[in-house]
Amino acid sequence: MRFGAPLFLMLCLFPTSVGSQSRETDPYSVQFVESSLRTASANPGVSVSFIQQRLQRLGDGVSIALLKILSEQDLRNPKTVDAFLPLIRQSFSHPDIISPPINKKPQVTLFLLKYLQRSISDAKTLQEIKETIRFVDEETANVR
Amino acid sequence: MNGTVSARYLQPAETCTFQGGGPSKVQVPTSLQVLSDTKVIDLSYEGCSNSAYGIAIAIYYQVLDQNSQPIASNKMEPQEKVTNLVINGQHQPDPAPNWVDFGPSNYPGTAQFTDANGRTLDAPVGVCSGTPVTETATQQYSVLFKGTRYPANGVLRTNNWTMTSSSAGHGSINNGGDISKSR
Repeated sequence: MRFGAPLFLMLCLFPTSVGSQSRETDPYSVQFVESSLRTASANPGVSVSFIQQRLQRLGDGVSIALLKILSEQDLRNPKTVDAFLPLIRQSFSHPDIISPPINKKPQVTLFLLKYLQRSISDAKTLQEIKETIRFVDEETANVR
Repeated sequence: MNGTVSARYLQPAETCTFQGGGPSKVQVPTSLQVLSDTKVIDLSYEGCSNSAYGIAIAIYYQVLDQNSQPIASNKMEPQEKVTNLVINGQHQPDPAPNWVDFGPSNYPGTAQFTDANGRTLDAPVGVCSGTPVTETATQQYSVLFKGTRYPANGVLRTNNWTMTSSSAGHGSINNGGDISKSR
């Protein structure tokens, strides 16, 4: 019997352990969102494709990570809030590519944003929060 | 890899027996080849208007085997690591120190897996800003196939990116090798 066609037999012959996927090493994307926040804070207005692509696939996952990263004190700091609101907007700018699908629904994000509305007093930041809520509402209108 | 594959049928007993062998070509993902349709794309995929500083490109790759032949499979999951990010001379945290999918993205045609020809599209790749910007970064690729990473050691490809824009509406990008684009 002849096996002439190209086959992926090497999958059996040359196994390599796979334990380094980010899903496993950073299941809540905490490391990624934290590093993205640092980069965004240091470089306001700069869009880096390597960061943007992943943020756009995270959806609600960005807010989940932010809640794990930031303290209550951070969430009352207008400067910190101003830094991460663009990340939230990016995370819902293309809901069609968000994975897993449950993160297409902005339940945690809207919970966070409405919490921020109650805890922030700075007028400019409050306006940014309001606009972010509107943006997320509009972008996810078809998935809720 | 070239080798010999043998088979022997033993059941049901006493009814049939066959065996055989012969050369077999086993393809191992070994490198990524840049295809000619790699191009500059609209900066809106990067989140900016085309009048901003910066550049974005779409890169089409073909997965090649150990003999530099295409591997025609849609079951490969291309992944990347991105490290050594420097923006305007300042070191930044590694965006992707561990392997992660680079597709899909907001650019049409991108996907989590290769197409039936073993091709993949990485887009957008670039940077944009409201002010002059220079970015450097190291991007490495591998593929997953049924939970196994290839190549077993090393990477399919490394891009040492330099992206720079000193005037609005213009920019350039190169990987120090076979990719160089500007607008």
